[in-house]
Amino acid sequence: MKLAPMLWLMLLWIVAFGLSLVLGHGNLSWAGLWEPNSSTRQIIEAVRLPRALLASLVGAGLGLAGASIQGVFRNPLADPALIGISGGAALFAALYLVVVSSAGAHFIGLSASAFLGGILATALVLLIGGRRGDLSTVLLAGIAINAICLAGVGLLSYLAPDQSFRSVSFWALGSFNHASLIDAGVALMMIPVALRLLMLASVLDVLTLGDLEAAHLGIAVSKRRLEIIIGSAFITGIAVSLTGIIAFVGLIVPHLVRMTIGSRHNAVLPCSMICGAILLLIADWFSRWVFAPIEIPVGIVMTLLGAPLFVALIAKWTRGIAL
Amino acid sequence: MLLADRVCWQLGQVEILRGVSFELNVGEHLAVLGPNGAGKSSLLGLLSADERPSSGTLQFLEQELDQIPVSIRSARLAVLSQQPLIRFPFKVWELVAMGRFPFTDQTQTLRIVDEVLEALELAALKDRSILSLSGGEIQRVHLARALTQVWSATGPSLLLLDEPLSSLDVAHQVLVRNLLKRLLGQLPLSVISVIHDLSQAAEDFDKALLISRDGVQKAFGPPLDVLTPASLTALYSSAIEAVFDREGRPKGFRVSMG
Repeated sequence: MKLAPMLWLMLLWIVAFGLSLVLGHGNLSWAGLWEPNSSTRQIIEAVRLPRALLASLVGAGLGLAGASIQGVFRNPLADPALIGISGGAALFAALYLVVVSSAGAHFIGLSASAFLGGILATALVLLIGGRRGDLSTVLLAGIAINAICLAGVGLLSYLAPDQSFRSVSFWALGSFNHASLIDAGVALMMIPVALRLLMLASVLDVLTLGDLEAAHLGIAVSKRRLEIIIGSAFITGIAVSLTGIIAFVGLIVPHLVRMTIGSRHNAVLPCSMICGAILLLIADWFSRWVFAPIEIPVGIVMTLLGAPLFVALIAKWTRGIAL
Repeated sequence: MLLADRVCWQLGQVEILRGVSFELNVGEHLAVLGPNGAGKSSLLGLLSADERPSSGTLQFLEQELDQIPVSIRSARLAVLSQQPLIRFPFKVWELVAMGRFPFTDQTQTLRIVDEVLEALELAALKDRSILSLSGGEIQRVHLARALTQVWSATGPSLLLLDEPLSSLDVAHQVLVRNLLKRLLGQLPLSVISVIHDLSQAAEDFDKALLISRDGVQKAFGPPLDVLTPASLTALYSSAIEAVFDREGRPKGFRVSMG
């Protein structure tokens, strides 16, 4: 395990976290920071702190899920949103809100439903795209599943009788608006699953060799693969149920880590978590700053940032140049 | 150490292998020869426990191969298949070190990886990304990975190689052939290689197994007994004639063009 880069990344995260508490629209004063009930304290405690916590946790989760999914599919162009996991999670989260609870206060049910949707979408993608996770078929299957899921979310938002049903754009373009400490608390459910995925780092290394090669090295391939896919879908499901779909975090972050730190998953997984947290803190600050005082959904920022990079990666790929 | 008795394998309705029998002892190197599609790679697949024979028995270390616990098998049996495509920029040493996955001692791993890289003249490439390597280099890297798996073998171990020299230049072919000879002398190791080069079959191997296009075993025994003009012409095609040197060793093929 490479400790030095991880420590630097942690330091960067702390800086980004601190800045996201103090930067933004609103009058903060240093003096107010030490006074209870001052407007500065209220803005930080009620708005900025839950937001920064949620951005960090969701970013870490999506970074980890992206890196795990790429490893298990042996495909550096995979991303939970691109291959349909996020879409399935969003559809089932919306279904839960409409069918079971239009109040939307039952976080466990919402998260469980989103997780189920993520798993179902993944199963469909694997069924269509083939178990071996061939690059183009998985991406194409993902496009189809995503389209169906988002259409489903749109349909539900029209049919939903209750005005409190959050708008389509919340699910389609994730955002940290209305983040609360309860949201951040729900996001903590990712931790045991994340720890398990981190323990499977060397298994992920060997899985990239191929199914047969991994089996020759003593790995129970089907079991481990299923475990990793379910773990990633669980984390993605929780993230989506809290913030809606934020695409490309899981694509960009592991790439940056492999380019700068290394490809072994005992570095890629933890570093992708920290980088994912940093990236979403920055993207969230940008989404509050760029049209201030209007906040745009952070999902728009990530897609505008991620899609061109994705195109560049595909171009590199088709020219046969090593990624 | 390894015993195959009338091994047959069917893929759906197609019979790929029809009755393959041979025996291999520690320290021996077996060549598997035959035309494309004869089922040579399928035989390696059965020996790697990827698939189970549809009939017949395969015994390794006096046990049914598929009864051996995975933890023991992965420490005793290494496979170099025709190379997997990897799309992640692992460094050469990181890929080679994956061969040590079945073992827990990490300090030993680094030493063994260095020794294997040295032996295959890969030490200079140690920190290079595998995506930047040529076909011959990546073949040596995968061979190195398989070798690290048996490098510290203390009990009988088996190495299965599917055309290990196919992308190598002449100098590296000699390097690998000499290395395998040395390892067979030093370690409690047996090697099975699928090859196409007849002159190599006569020089490097203790035994040869010929499989015909329809998956039938044509001959098994010491290479010079097995590789006769009649058996080779029957194996490939009547348009192909095996060429022998004065001592009766096969050198290659002569093709009579239509």
